Amino acid sequence: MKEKVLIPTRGVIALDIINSLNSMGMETLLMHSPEDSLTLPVKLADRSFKFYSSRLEDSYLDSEAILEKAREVHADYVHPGYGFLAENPEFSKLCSDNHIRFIGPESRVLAAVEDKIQLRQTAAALGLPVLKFSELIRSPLDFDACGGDGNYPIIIKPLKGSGGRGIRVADYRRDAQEQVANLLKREENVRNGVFFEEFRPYAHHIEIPFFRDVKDNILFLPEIESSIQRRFQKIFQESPSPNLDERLRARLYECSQTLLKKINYVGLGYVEFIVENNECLFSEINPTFQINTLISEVHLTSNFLKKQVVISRGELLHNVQGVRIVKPKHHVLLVSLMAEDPYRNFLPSTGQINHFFHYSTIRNVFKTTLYTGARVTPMYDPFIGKILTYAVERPNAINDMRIFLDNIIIRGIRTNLVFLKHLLENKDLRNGETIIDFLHLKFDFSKLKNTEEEAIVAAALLAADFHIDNRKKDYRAKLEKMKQPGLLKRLFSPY
Amino acid sequence: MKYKFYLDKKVVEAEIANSATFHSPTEIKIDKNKLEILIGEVKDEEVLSFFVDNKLRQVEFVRDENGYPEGIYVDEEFYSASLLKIDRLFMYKEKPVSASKSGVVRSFIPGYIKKIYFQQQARVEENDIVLIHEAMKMENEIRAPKSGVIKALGVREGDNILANHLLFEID
Repeated sequence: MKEKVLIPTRGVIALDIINSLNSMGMETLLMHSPEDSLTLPVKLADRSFKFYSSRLEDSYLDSEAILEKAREVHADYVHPGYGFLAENPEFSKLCSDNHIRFIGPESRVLAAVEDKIQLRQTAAALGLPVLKFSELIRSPLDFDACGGDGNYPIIIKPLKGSGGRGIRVADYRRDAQEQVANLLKREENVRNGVFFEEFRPYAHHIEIPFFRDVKDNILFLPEIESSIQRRFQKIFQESPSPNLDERLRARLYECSQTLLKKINYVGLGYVEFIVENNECLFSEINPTFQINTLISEVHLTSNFLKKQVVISRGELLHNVQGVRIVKPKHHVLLVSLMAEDPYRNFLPSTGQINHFFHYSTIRNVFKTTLYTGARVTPMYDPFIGKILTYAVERPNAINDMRIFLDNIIIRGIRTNLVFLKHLLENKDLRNGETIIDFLHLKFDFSKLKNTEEEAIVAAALLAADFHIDNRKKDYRAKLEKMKQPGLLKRLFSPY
Repeated sequence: MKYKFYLDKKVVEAEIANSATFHSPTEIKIDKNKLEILIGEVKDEEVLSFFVDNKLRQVEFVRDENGYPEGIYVDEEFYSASLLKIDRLFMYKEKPVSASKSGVVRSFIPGYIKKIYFQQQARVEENDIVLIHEAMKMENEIRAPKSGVIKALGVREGDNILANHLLFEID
């Protein structure tokens, strides 16, 4: 009998899971919200089950309902995708208590990674350099006692947050106090607490992807630089990073190895570092599959979802003994396509796709769930696709990506395509100066248009439009005149 | 026929022959540049693309509620166009600027009401966060535009709402 996998997730990751596990000969059972009934994963899954409501708490976050369904269909595995329940230690524990394999790290590891302060203390105790951080804050009054009069700017985070939710940057003390007070108005933040850390606008954000098995074998992949973020969502990622030398790179791998051994991490994950001036500071560990896992898949030319399943069964890594560091053969770029209007301060844009088309080469991958007729709903985040390009040299990869973006047509909703095109033409990005606060320091949002020639074109088209419009009005006016009751009489009257 | 309009706050003059249809290549003058325009793709009376000097451009026109052009998307890049004159006929319209702050707050995009901090009849100060409106993972803090008492509350926690839905009214 086929092994059964329950997949309570949506979007691109659901598609990837369904395709990979189907090819491994497993039966894929999707759980989806009523809002997602017409999406591609529902069409491709072997069977799918609908949650009764589209509210997040009653659908993708409802661990009780998911577990109940898993028991009912006798599922062998649950793959939570990313986001939603993927980083939740209680859910992982619930699954293993019910003899269902949770594809991802075990509950113990997830709990260790979730508490960011504890994890950093562990790292510091091992002698690793870490990003400066505050103690836990549970009340706005704690703020000063926790070092609120230190250096600014700072970045304020919920202790157990993920996916960029609730993260704020404060430039001075009053601002920080207000932000902390606002964050602590939420129940979950009061329960778990918030903390802050130093914000380094000119640093680089580097992630080290890895696989680790039960026998302490580690497969390290080339680092991914994801410095350029908007609202703490990564929008432009590349690998290898243009800002690391061999010495620093070796140091990052060394730090990661020490820490992973200490917490005995088994599975796929990402160690995140902040790198500035030859100094690498440990920040946190991301324990799930990510959007940028596609980059690592290109480097290793292998399917990571399949690998993840194998590791979660407790099997050993294939062809790895001790530490293996994969060397990059290509420069890989990945951008995120979002349903946001760059001309209206990146307001989310929703609606039906009237027209969707793209044309790619062998070095482009465009993963999206869009199709002509699909609906983008306001229920979920505005991420609608990811676009990957690779080439041997970095400038070629950027050029290829820029050209490929011209080959995408999406009508019906507004997307950040224009913004991405301008981003790829940015001089500083082309020089490799990708820094954390790139969009504030190096990117001019007022220049999202307006080369001289384009303005003339716009003028011409507007003129044409007005003219056509006027003619239409004239035509309509004539028709109205024809309908006047007196007209026929006058024409045919004998008098 | 002569047109005059503002494009991204710059005055632009255009001259078009009275008989122009753009179904065949038609020459027009923009400031002092000559351009040739031809209609490309037409769908349901709405023109979706033009050839300008033999280069195809995707177009989308944005209009305000009175049908006056507000702007244009050319190959997805947006240009605002605020007002225009045609010959001596003035089709001039300025947007009214409200002097006093209105107490009515409406949702600007569809979404979901995550949290409401005030009850009806509660007193709020200007800039207080009244509720949290979540759309596509983005949490928007909706603040009070002025101080006063919440006269009406149009939503409950957990509601899914459309754009332009009444959130609350302050008196």
